[in-house]
Amino acid sequence: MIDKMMITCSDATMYVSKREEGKLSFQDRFKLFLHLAICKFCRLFAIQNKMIIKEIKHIHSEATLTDLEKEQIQAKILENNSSK
Amino acid sequence: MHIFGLDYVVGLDNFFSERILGTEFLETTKNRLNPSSWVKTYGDTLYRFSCLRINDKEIARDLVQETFLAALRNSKTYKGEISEKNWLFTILKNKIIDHYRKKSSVLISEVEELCASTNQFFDENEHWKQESVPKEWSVNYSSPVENKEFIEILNKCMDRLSELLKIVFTMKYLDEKESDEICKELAITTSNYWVIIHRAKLNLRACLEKNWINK
Repeated sequence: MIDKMMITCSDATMYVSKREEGKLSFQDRFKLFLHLAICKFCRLFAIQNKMIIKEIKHIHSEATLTDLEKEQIQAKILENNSSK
Repeated sequence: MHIFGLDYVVGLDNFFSERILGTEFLETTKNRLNPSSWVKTYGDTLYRFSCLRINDKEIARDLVQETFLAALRNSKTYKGEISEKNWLFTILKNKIIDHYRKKSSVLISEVEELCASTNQFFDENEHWKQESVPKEWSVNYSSPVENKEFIEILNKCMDRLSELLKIVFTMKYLDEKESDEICKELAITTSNYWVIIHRAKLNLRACLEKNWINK
């Protein structure tokens, strides 16, 4: 009985994602709850994961097209626009 | 002075047309395509959007160019219901998905490889390996990070993910798509999806800990 309720850290960290998307059965939610109650590492994983997925929305690229690339694209546009 | 004056007249014109003709007229006059200014106005914005989703800068650039050319070809279908910018973004998003689809055979072999490989973070009993155990970060997890460095490192860690992990993670957390939709678009199974998201998160967390907390 107790064995059946125990999940591994690998499972627990995957369940965290499933729970987040509401795709974890009631039974598995309970198993995860038990695991997180006794496993400090997976608890940390869950908390840090939450922070990562919240902050990921702020990442941005600073890449810019070079002037030459812009000119080339512009030329293509003009060429296609006039040939219509 | 001249430009200022012109702005003023345009502003006044809008003001009156709004009163006389209603907003419907205004919207149709606003949303018109202006291809000659596309590169200048939207070039970099579209390119950045593309770069976050495509590892290869050259491909990212080509997709932007293809977006503009496709927009030109389909300009007749543009009814002005959405802004020019949103319209171009919609086209680019489709181009990006097309690109993923073209690569799907490569991606699927990567999925198979990933699912067959052992998870480097856990031991044979599926518990954390000594060296990959999560450590406490000296931050307030619930308050937003004001540290720009964190975002920068997160950005770099994203780039270090394999293409498959990056694509799926980006679709889920940047584009905020439902997992069912992601599976359909990339032709992967639900269990593939969970393995990918799991690995992506483990990798990102470890990368952040290594490069941000313990640097």
